[in-house]
Amino acid sequence: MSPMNTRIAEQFSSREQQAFAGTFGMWVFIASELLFFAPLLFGYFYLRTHYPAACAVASRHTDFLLGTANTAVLLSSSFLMALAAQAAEARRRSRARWLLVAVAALGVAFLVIKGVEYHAEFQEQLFPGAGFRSQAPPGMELFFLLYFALTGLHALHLTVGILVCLAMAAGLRHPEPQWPSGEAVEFAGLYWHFVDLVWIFLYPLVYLVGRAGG
Amino acid sequence: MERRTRPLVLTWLALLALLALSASSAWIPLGWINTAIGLAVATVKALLVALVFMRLRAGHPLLRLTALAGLATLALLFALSGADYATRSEVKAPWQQPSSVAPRLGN
Repeated sequence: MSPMNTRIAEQFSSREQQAFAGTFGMWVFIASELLFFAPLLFGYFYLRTHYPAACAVASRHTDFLLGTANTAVLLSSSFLMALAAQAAEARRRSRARWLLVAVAALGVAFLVIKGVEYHAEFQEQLFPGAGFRSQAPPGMELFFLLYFALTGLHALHLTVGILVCLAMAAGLRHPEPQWPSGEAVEFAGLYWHFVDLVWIFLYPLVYLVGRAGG
Repeated sequence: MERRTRPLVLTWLALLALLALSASSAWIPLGWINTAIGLAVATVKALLVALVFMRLRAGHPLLRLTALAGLATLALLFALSGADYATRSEVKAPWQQPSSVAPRLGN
């Protein structure tokens, strides 16, 4: 495994140290990303504790089937991403490349489904603002404000993830010393899984409130 | 199936099974327990993704500490902001259009 040793940055004494510094850096970034989502999550916490009934009414207006399908799409994309990281680590660049393309395709599928949902919600006057439906209980507009902000911020993160996947898939066409290395694919994977983690919590908070009535 | 991919496949199947559990249990009328189940299932799913897909289980302890530091900071912010909202009552006031109040000029 010596040819890769030439590509260690000068501040590191070994390749292992360099890889660990990168992984640690990604985790610090992910922790700060969690806090980036935190104010919106707290807004949701405030809404659920102060307007529980409006929350249930509003949540029943979201699309249960599309939301559930999208969760399955994202969980599967994370699985493929884990396979891609494993393939890149084993230096099976062609396999890693096609897995990354599949991950990006699932990401695009998620965005398309989300777009269909957004379209229906615009039609039903559920987008907060002057055109919001008039006979809604107080708190419902805040629910949809947080819904669009949280899912929109999530979709923005996913878009970045898709672009990273495609860039890496393009780079993986070239043989070994070329970018991306196995570690780079692993770092992209950590980011992708974090975006998945956010959605895992958004799913019950957005789509499953008050489904059983009451 | 390769030996190394087996845990990933099992995790994926477990995640889909948990999704089915949380999606179906939401339709059973249980009141606040519905939310508790939804969040509990989400936590288990998140742990699976973090420990297996993100390799926290096999990784250096410093990485687990970093993840916990993020969660602890989140809990701290929720506790401090939540204390504010929990101890103040909301005074309902009708929304007034600016034009409905006559401007007070002079004197």
